[in-house]
Amino acid sequence: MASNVGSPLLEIKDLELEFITEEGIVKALDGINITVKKGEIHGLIGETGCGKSVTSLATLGLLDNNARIRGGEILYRGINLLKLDENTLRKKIRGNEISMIFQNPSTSLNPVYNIGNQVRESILLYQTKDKMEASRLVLSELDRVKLPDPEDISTKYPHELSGGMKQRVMIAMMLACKSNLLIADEPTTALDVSIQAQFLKVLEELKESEDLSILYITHDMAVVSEICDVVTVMYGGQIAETAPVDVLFKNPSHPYAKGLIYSVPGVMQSIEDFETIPGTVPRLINPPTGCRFHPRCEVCR
Amino acid sequence: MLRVGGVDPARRHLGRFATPEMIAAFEARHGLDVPLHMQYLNWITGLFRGDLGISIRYGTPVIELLSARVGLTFQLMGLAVIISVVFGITSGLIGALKHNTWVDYMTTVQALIWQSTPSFVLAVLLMLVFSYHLNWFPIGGYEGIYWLILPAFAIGLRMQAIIARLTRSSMLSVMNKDYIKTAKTKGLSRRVVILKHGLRNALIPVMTVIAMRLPWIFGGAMITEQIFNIPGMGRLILEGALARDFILVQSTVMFITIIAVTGNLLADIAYTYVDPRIDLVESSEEVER
Amino acid sequence: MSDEEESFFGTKSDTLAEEIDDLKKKETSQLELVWKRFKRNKLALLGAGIILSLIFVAIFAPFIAPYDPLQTHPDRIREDPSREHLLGTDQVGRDTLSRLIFGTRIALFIGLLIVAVSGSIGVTLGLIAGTYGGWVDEIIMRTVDTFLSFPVLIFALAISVALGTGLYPVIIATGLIIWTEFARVTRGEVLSIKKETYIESAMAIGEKKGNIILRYFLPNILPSIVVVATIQMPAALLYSATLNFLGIGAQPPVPSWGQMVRRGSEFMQFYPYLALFASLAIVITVLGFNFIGDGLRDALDPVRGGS
Repeated sequence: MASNVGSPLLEIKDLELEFITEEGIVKALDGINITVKKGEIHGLIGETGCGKSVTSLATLGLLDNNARIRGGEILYRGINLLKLDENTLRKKIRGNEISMIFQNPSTSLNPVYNIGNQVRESILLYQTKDKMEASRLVLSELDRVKLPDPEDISTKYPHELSGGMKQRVMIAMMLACKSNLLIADEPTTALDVSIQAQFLKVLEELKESEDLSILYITHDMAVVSEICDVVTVMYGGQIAETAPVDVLFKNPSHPYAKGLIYSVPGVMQSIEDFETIPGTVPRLINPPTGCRFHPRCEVCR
Repeated sequence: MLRVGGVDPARRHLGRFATPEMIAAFEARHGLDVPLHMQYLNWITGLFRGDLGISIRYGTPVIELLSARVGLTFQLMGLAVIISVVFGITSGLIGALKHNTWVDYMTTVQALIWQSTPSFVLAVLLMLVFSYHLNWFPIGGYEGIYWLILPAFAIGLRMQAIIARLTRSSMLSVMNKDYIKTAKTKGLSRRVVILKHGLRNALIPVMTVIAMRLPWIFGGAMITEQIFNIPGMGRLILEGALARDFILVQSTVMFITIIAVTGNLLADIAYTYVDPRIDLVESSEEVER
Repeated sequence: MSDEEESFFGTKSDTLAEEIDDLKKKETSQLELVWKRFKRNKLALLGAGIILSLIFVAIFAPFIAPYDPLQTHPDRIREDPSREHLLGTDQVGRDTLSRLIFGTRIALFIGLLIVAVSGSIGVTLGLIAGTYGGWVDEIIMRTVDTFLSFPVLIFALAISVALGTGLYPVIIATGLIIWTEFARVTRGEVLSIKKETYIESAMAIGEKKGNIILRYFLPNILPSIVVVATIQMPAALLYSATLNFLGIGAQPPVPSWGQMVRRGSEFMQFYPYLALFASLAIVITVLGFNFIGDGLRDALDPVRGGS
């Protein structure tokens, strides 16, 4: 079933998610709606704890045991992922259609196997069963993410590589799965700014060459403005605003989004002009009713 | 070191009727006629030459006694290790996977029971049930590897309890790690995730423990050999100790220490192999922690 | 003008003793928490029950045992369990049940002594290591490492070659080798107390270290020592039973379980009861302590992924 550029790939509709904890029920997601279209880089931005990571984990069925979906659906190419059983989810969706890279590349790679082995795993699963060919393909995958000297790297172990290189290996591993949607969960948070720049470049080039759709989760406005086409802003388990990137940055409508945009200091700005949003993020065990931002919102006051 | 007891070995061995000449001859033969520190020196140099002295009890060179039986004891120990590894890792794995269910609970209780049973009790009970009642195994002695199986179980069943607990807790902590999430995300089958990614990492500390426990296994072998009447090194040192044949015991103890040190060394080396993050220089600090 | 003294240490209390007091209060409430968690563990309670009954048996042995454990009845050798002899008789006609009951005394006594010996050595070394630190600490820790890798049985055996095969040499021999856990825990406690209070500064100022140890450290580490002692009991019991089995330690006719197993195994082909019951006695006792020990460990550190 061919999907055209622009058609919706992933549709999260009215998703409600709770966590059962010792201290009570945490309402992590309160009816969120996100649509990722084919061929776009969709940014998902929000502070820590607003539910962005949880959304991605829910998509792939990787949540902890104490999580409960209370409502809504996650449609991937029309199929509700929440209704699939673990086996189908694993065989058809994970890796195959949707793949994911995580925040900390140092812990996301298995320390006892070398790089080649780990990338080869993906290839053997999705591209070819021939071991010789797979080894060749490993090199080309590593090359695609602009890693220098792929042959050498594939014999190395994760702890021998730098953070930036490890993260690129992660992409290579996931790309080798030939998936259609890549979810990137704060992939550059643990990296230096300069490495981050390189990384983003790689992503951009991949989007061009592979026609890859990406859901890019981050808390960094700068990154969003650089590579995303569309942005969704989350706050406290709810969606604050969704808009194409230039629209959002020039003319944010939701007060939280506004606060976020204006709170990023420009290089020429002085400290006095620095605006912040008063108050702190609420605990989601007892969230504010309705729009969760309203206690801090200047419009609502 | 062992001389502190001060009992005159010559008298003791030869009995009350020993004449001074006999005592002198005895002492000369065993190298006891020189002052203590000389004896120690002689012993150390003897070590390098391969001369471990003459056993007081047996009257033959210690080295002969030892070499005849070493192989046997090693076989026994090897079997015990295999048994404990197979049973231990399996039950530890099951316990971790069926975490917090009654299966897990059973595994823990079972491990506790084994840990509370002294080796000799286990050996005796095994013998009672399997040799006497069920007649599956011979009662004692040694005529082939089959004779070592029951004794190996006597040692192995206790060891596996330790391995099981360690595997279980190690596995539990490993399965929480990020790279397991990555593996799942790739779409790998549950079996591959658990075995290839999980267990491989979880077994790292287990291996070290096994290597460090080698001397303990020898202790178990000692008892088991005694009970099952196996002519191995363990029984040798036991009887030597009981007869206060310190020349024999000295050398055997030295031997054990060598085993212990080798075990440690093996543990370090194996560790380097198994966990590519460690290189040989660092690892010695790691293990000393 | 405030009443609080701004001392050099910047603390509110004006004496070290008060600080220690505060620490004690905090620890008491911690203790209560630990106790609660312990009580929840069913196995631990079972273990406690077992051990308490055993202690009872040991103390009141003469009143509970139906026969004199040393009394032989040459006409009732190796009798099957019956109403007169609930667990049968041994090879010289002594009542097994009575021997086991008195054996409880021996077992617990030996176990306690071993723990006492190893405890003394271990705690002393641990205190010294923790209090003095520096190279003294290093040396002691290296020693701990060395002793840790000793195969206990073999060395206990070796030492008894030198000292003799009686009871006390065995106790000393075993105690000399298993003190490491005591040392480790004591040292850890001392170090953490040092961190939490200003004892370090007091020491710098010049209070005699010996004093500090006795007045401050010791009383506060007492609960930990008790815990370690309980946890070490199973090991002590196992080693002493094994050595008894081998013929070292309590000599006949003193009823020791290990030795009873030994005797029993000699003729278990046609009379298994002696070996069986003596074995059970050992296993149940050690199990009891292991349950308690496990319960204590879980109660103190519930983060472990335990059942």
